[in-house]
Amino acid sequence: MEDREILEVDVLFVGAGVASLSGALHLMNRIHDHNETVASGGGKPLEDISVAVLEKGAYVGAHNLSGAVMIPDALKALVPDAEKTAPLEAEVASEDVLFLTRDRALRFPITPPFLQNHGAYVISLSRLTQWLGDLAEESGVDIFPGFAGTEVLYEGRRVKGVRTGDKGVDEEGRPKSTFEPGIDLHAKVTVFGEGTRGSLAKTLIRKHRLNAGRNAETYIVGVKEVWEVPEGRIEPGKVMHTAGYPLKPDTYGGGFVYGMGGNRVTIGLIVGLDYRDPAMDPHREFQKFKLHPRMAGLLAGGRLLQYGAKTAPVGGYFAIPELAVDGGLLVGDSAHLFNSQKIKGIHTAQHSGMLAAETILEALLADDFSQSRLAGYPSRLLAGDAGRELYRARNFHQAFHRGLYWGVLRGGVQYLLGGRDWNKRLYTTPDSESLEAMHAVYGTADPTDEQTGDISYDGELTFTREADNYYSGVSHEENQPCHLQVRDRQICVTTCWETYRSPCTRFCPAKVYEMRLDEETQQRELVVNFTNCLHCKTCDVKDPFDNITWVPPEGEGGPKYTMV
Amino acid sequence: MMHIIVCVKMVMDPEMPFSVFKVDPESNKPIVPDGTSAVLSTFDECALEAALRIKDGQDCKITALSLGAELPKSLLQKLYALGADEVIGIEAPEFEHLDAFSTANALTRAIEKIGDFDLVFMGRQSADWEAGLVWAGVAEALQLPSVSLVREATPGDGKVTAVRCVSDGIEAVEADMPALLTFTSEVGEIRFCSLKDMMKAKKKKIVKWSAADIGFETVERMQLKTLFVPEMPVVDCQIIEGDDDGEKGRRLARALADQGLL
Ligand SMILES: Cc1cc2nc3c(=O)[nH]c(=O)nc-3n(C[C@H](O)[C@H](O)[C@H](O)COP(=O)(O)OP(=O)(O)OC[C@H]3O[C@@H](n4cnc5c(N)ncnc54)[C@H](O)[C@@H]3O)c2cc1C
Ligand code: SF4
Repeated sequence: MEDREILEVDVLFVGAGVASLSGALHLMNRIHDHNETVASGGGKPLEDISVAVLEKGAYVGAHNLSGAVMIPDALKALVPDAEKTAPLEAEVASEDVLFLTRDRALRFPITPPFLQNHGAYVISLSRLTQWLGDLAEESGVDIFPGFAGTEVLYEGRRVKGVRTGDKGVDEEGRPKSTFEPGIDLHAKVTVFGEGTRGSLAKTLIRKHRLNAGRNAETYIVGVKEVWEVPEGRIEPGKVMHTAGYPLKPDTYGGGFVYGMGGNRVTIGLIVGLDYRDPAMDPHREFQKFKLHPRMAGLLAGGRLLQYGAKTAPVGGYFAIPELAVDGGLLVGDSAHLFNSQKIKGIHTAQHSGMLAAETILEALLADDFSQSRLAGYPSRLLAGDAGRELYRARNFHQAFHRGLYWGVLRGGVQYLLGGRDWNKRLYTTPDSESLEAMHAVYGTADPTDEQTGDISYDGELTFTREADNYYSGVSHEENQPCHLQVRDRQICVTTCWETYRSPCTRFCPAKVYEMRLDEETQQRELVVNFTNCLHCKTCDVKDPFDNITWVPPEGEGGPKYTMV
Repeated sequence: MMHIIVCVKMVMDPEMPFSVFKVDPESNKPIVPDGTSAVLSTFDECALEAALRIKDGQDCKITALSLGAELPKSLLQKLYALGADEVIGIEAPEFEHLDAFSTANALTRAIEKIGDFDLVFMGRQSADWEAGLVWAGVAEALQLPSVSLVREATPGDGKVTAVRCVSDGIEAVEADMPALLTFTSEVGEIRFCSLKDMMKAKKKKIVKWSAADIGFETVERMQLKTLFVPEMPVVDCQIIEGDDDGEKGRRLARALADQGLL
């Protein structure tokens, strides 16, 4: 391994999401409190503690996408006047749960308790993250947007920091005139808050087998848009969740519609990545969702403002890996702390960051960053509100593995039983294993558009992936190595094509993958348009051969979200 | 020691999708959407890069000067991280929507206040309004020889040689220093700042001046009549394929000629 320049900090957070930023800000506040107590009562102050946060996006908030209805408990604990100062769109005013058929909407007579959002807020996660970033900077945290962590650095088993990505490397991997090598950032403790399917968290979990004995990770992908609609069309704080159309009964997921401020509405569709149909295209299903008369009426005369997509971990309690290693901690989505029953992970991510900060404070005072000291964090977390909440929802997503109706029944019964189901723990399989062969689903390897439910796009209400992607602000430096590493390109044109007809060309919400057929030679070839990538991580999760690995591209590349 | 003043504007990120951009019909002013971040104006980055390349080869002090209604601290710090020796930010609410004459006036006064300099570098035009007028106003007010559309500058012996991009090639001109030069994107690739330099930059002191500190007064001579976001034309995109660049070029030329565009 070549030698890199080394920089030392005390505490390093990887990824400037709500989990890391809440942790970093809380740590600064707690250090401040500690030093005040010490000043009056005696003891050892903590001086000049350097806290750094790496973020791959061009600015803080650029890569943060959510629904989102947020439970504000953690935020209020972190920033007591948050309800006045934070960029909250609206307090939840009313809520509906609808069951959709192709052209009808049936209202559930009651909103299931786990979907009740009284006291919660509709927010844009991108905005909230940006705001938290500003607060963290003011408190003395150093945030570095545009710098990705690309490798975990170890000393034996101890995590000693991360390496940042090189910049100015061409597509063949050669340095360009602007080459700027990455550096090795060493820290006493490194906190992985990379969000869903963290690329470093993934290697750490595998290397240390942190998920031994746990359920397999499983994910959903959410595809969404923000629209501006005519005045009065939807009240801010209006919350709507849907089940049914356009998803088939055997597919986990549903739609969401939230009224934001400024005559804007957020509309999206969540699709469980344990789906079996290789012809599934989550973006297309989302477009169909907008064609439902209820949604089409809502959006008529409006205009699309922003588009985006992202996965979220729904494995729940039994998929949470070990969260502490020597010198390292996992927080937020990277730690699988997402409540799939409530479809919420923002508050749990914030709780986890803050509880990690409590433990880091103790570790700094004791100058001990061993696994046994850092294990205070998972104990606190699992015994606390967030842990109890996740425990109650522990079997929720698994209950749906046979589809909607069965799941509603089981999910509902579970709710009444406080998460207990007939059997104690429901197991999961990785999403990469759930696809069935095209032939098994459609009776033919080449189903017609009608069979797969393909539609044409009108450019007003429905958009192609290329058109939609433009509204995400995505861009990447073109002359750099492709950050979607396809291990074996032969499988793509043989087994994968034969069995599934290249599902990557459909599951990617940015149309990064295309199969080109050379007319003359009749040879197929996979083309990877990586510059369109939204960093949603669907391909890393869903590829049936685990053939695609997502690694961070050159810093700053990716979407430029501001309101999703 | 050579002293270069580089003027750098901070603008709304031109790479944001146009859908987030709005104009307030009442005041005729663009509304910067919540959450949109600012960036260094593209051509001004080229000007800074050109100055940094001079500094790579000789003793040279670079003063980066930025003026605006709101100057994000992170961008001022980025100027340090990229290699400026001193960063001056002049921030005042009255700098919102200045016309080119007022901007030129303000920059002139700021440059006079900085004093002693050999060169003033600017971008050919700003990435937001793209008027391309300010440089001429400053050069005139300071009575400086000026060269526009420069891609490379070599100072030496009281003179600066500037290579200009012109429509049919390049042109090399020489000017007495002090002089004012404006730069184009032909400067080439802009350096990255390293994480280490970003870290150091966070500790450096940014010089802050107010409008009064430079004795600013508006000299508004241009008024905006209407501002609107045009309807997006429906674009039919055709991708020209070919085995190599030459082939693609020939096919592109043929396609354009076929449609009477060439
Ligand atoms: C469609 C959808 C709808 C949702 N709806 C809701 C909802 O209504 N309510 C709710 O509470 N939750 C909701 N969630 C979940 C919620 O958004 C997440 O749980 C939450 O954002 C997790 O926060 P985080 O800080 O862990 O990760 P993130 O917010 O994803 O932040 C991680 C950050 O790390 C950065 N990063 C990643 N890798 C690296 C690296 N190697 N180097 C540098 N930077 C890196 C990323 O760019 C990103 O900025 C939803 C999620 C989705 C996908
Ligand atoms: S390439 Fe992968 S990570 Fe990127 S947008 Fe497509 S599915 Fe998401």
